[in-house]
Amino acid sequence: MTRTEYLAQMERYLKRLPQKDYQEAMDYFTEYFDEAGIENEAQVIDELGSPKEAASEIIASVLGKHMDTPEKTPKSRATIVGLTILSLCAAPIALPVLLALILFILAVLLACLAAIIAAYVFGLAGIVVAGVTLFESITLLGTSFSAQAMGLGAACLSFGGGVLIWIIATAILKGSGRGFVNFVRWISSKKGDAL
Amino acid sequence: MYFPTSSTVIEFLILAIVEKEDSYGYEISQTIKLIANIKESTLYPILKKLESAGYVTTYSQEHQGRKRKYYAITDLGKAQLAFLNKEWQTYTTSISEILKGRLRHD
Repeated sequence: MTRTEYLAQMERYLKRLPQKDYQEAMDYFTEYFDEAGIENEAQVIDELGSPKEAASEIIASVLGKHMDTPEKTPKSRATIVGLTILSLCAAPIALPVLLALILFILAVLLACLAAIIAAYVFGLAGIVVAGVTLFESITLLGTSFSAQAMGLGAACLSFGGGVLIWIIATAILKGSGRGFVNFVRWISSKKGDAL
Repeated sequence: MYFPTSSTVIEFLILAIVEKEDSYGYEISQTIKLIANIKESTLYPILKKLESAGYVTTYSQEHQGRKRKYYAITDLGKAQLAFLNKEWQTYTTSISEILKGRLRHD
């Protein structure tokens, strides 16, 4: 493999990175080849490892950089999701394993999503029930004090329960997103390990 | 080299190299490779990290008709280097004391 071929292959893996990260990485490695000189080209390529391996490490480090940015905008979140998928594709894993892994991750994601949607609906139902019971208990005003008190209590209970479920579901949603990205980082950091 | 070099030590070395004199990727890398069996794809992220942490800044300069990206240490980088130097002293002193049998847990 020549330097031109090497850089071209690397470019193929890196070109989906954010423009600035892509340009900086390509500049760095081009400069590196320039400095090493034509006579050391083979040695440099040997040291660098396959373009895929090198690209995978660069993508993982760019992902790390974006993850550590404190202020998260919708755009930066989208970047992180994109980079996560990208680093998964460049991970040093055999294709069949990769496919199985992607399908597995998709299935887990869908299951999580379903569970979270169910939790939200459940929480919503609690709040609706709270509204209805509250209304019921008000109509009982004057006829039976104990029935009204029970109605009010039930309304508070289902409202509190509903809100609690919402809060928990939101926390799980946030936590699992972060966990997923970390999981992918972990995979792409497993350089060349037989999987 | 038989002993593995952690990325913290590599950061330390890079800061020490650019503190003496501004340097560029290839030169830094060749110096690091004197002691560490490290790939360019590992070194590059470390340089990026030092830059985004504000320990080094970069500038481009012409050299024999092409651009070279130079790395220069910042004040923040100097402070970090001083800290790492202190840590390194403690670390290496303790190691040699243990090796000589003068330091042990009791």
